[in-house]
Amino acid sequence: MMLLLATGVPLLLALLLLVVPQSGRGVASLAPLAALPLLGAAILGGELRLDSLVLGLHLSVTAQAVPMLLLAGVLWTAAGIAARARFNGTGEGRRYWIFHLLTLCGNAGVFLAQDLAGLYTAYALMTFAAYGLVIHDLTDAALRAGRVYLVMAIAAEVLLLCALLMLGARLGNAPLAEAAATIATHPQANLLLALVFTGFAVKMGTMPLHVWLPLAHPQAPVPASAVLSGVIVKAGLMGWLGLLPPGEGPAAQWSSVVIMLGLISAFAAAALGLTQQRAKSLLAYSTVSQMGLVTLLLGVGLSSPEAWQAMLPVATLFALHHGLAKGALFLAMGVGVAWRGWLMAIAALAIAGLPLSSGAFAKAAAKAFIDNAATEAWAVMLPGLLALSSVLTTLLLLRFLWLAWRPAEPARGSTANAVNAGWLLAVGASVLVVPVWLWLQAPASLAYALQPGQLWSALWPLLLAAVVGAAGFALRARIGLPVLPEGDLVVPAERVLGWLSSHQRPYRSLPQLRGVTLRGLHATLSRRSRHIERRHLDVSIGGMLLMAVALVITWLLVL
Amino acid sequence: MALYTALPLLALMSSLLAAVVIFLLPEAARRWRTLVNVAAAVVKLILVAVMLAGVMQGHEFGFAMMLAPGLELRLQADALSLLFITLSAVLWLFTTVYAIGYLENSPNRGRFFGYFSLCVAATMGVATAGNLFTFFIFYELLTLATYPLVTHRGTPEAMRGGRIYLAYTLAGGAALLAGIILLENAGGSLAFIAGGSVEQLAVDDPALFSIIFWLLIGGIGVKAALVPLHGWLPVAMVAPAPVSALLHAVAVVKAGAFGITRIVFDVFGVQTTDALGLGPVLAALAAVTILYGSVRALAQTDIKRRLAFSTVSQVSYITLGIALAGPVVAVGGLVHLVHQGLMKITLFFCAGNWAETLGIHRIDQLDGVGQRMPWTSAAFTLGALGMIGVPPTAGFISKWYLGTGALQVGHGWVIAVLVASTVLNAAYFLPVLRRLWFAPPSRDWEERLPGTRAETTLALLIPTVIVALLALGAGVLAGLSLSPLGWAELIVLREYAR
Repeated sequence: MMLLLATGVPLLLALLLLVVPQSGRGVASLAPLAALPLLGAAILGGELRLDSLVLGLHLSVTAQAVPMLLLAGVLWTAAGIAARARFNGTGEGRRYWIFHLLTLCGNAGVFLAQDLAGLYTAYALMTFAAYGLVIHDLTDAALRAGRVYLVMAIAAEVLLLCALLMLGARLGNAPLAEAAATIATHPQANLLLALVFTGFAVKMGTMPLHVWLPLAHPQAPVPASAVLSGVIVKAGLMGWLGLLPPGEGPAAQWSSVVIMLGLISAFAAAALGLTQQRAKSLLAYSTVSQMGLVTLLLGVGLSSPEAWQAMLPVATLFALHHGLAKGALFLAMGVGVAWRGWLMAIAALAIAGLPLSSGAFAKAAAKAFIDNAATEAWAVMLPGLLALSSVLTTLLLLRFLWLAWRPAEPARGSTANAVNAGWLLAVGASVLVVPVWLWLQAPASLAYALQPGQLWSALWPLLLAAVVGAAGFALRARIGLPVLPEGDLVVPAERVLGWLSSHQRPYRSLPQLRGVTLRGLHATLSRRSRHIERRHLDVSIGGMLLMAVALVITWLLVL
Repeated sequence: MALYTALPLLALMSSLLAAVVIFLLPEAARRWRTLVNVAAAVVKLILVAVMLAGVMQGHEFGFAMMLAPGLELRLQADALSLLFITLSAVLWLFTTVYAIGYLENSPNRGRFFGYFSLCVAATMGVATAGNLFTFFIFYELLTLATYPLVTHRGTPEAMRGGRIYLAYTLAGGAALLAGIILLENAGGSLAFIAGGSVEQLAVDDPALFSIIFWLLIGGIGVKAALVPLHGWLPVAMVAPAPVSALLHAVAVVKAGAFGITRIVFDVFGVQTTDALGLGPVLAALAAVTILYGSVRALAQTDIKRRLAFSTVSQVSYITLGIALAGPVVAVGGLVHLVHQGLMKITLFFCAGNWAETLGIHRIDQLDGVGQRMPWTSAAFTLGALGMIGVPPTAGFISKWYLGTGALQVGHGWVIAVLVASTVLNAAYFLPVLRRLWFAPPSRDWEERLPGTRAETTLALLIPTVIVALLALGAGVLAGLSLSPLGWAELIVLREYAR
């Protein structure tokens, strides 16, 4: 029942808005509540089979989905409240809510779906609907961000489609667990692993597939940024947890590669984030960096089935903590009160891992897991690297606080208080949910994090960062950080593509080609054939190349 | 009882009779013509529904008449016929309503609707043909009945389109006839029999039967727009929108794809086609067509031309699924016969709505049209997402069965084709959607047409919205046993059960 409500309510509200434009006001007041069934699903659990939908839809609440559902339930509600205040009574509100609700429906589906086609369907709905959130403001920058987002998203969809078809050929529309187990024994296990990992890595912003994220997350309206960075990136994690083989077969060989990718993301994104001038872009880089840490945990989990089982609660706890704190920070960007800095500091320091904050608990659990589960070499190296990443993260968030302490402009929207209600909900949840969750689920882990030794090991990176930060601040006139554009690598990539497209326009280069090589041939063709399809030969160079590539692939596959 | 088993004939006659009555009605008798049109469409839908129920229970429908010794006119309804009949009967009803709205106040409506009904009667004949001879007769009739529709406007461009259409299809018909004669001479049976009937003969003389196969496929491939026989289709898009719908979704290209299915399934048989090594070649041809059509569609700036090339590409999904010998991949091909029809008719109706309401023909004129015509634009969005294959639309279901089925029979390269096609479809449909919904309107349109409260006349809007919902429903409710998917599985079960 809860599962039906969790996916059905947002969908119905969105359809209502689409079909009955006059319903705008009524739906807008209901829409923030649309995420509450997710909390119900997290608490009550449940299962739902709808065999006649798509290829047989199967929804259910798995153990690893519970923290994700909590996160989604809280953050989508908070974002909904914030959005209601911002768009209250405006004409653009209807468009926003349609995409908000559709994305929510897809997001709920991703966390709940247990069959291949169902997961892919929900994932696609979420991805395409979120495009509407990214480009909501319709500025040039937003449209560019949307373009990059969409190109990367479609690339990811295509990789996942390949993986799903390969699995579907063996199993039909199988349950995820069965599919994941099959990957381990599949003759092309490594290809499947690569497809699944890369496909979901785009959403997680694993470097170098992160380029869309610092463009898209900051461009969206504030409530949408909060869910994009807070919950929707975690859909990538849920995809990994659902479809990657649980530490079996060739997965173990992938462990180190994934750990390294996670480390690169964690460090490089934090460093790139330091060069940002806008608070929201910096937060987006921080998301890439923190998701790098989650990727690292996943990598450790891949090393063996036991490690995988131990990793599940740790990675999802980390995601829960990060989602709530990051959501609270993004929501603060839409708040106009002067004292917002103080509450921002709470969430920011939680991400940095201040003792007694949700981040400290999440990091303590991660550290304990790495001590137990990582191979020897990694167990030696990782704790130090984690501490170093804490230093960088703290620096990054100090810079964020410095950039964003005071609201630069008055918040949009007629009722600033309601913005605060959504934001306060997120801040409160980011403080309380993780400790309460641990207290209920794993009291030992809570006690472990409260040992003096653990408190100190969580505290010293922050102190070190504070010193470095203070020194940097004092010397800022002399050293001066380089300023890098948002989306870093995407800028040269766009330049190359722009050059290619300006030189390879269809119909521009072809007359010459025809003049040089095809004129004789063409003249011998009867006049009639020229009439039949005058532009028969006007295939663009790009098209010919593509067909050549497809033929080569075909040939190779046939061999 | 005889009346019951002769239902295929009755379904055919219902359209034929309507055609005759309409030709006899005076041009001014608008109300009568509309009544006859809609009544015929509804009657046929009912007859088809009865047959559908009958075939599901295993009843056999057939009607035969000797024209000359050895030449039998034979109509029958099996599961495969009904897949096509149901599609065309349902879509004909909507296309009729749409055409009535579209041609409001334009000249020569009597001629138009007469040939329109004739065209559908021919399609019924193609679908229910029980042997190659009957198939050929109705196939040619379809060509002739469509010509006046393509050239309906009478402009030089339309006449040119019609001329090219005729040149291509008549040449195709000649090849088909040559194939049929050779087949008959070689001692093969012309009857459509599940699993084929030339197995032994083909083993004895593979070269001859390969030639026959390519003559038949070449002849039919013209209508199925297989590259390089596709040239007529983009040119014929000068026809009015309802005719485009007929060409692209209801009748003509479908008759081609259906004919290929008949040749492979019921004349040669899947095993024989594969044993002769013909299947993979046909599949490769289909793959080339899929990519070529999409690449060409990218470069088009006219809405209907882009849609036409998209048809070239999408119809070959059907051929691809049929050509690879495997049950699951065949389901993918067959179900796409219906899915492509539903999605493409939606897209052409939308193009027609824009043209009729706002005078829009080019893609760069579509900026902000979503605000002026939200229902039409929403329908287009559903159709376009289906073409890309975004789940849970119908296109995804086709792709799933084609991809997994092809892998099961060891044709992994099909995945590469599907992926390339997905990306290309996204590349030529998504920018259109962005323009529709997110670009600022380039000019002010009148808020309403005179005399209507909706975004356009209801006769145009309602069929558009319904077919869009059908296209969505075919995907979302694919799990139902009466969905196109369920029916395609039934067909393949019967073909492979032999």
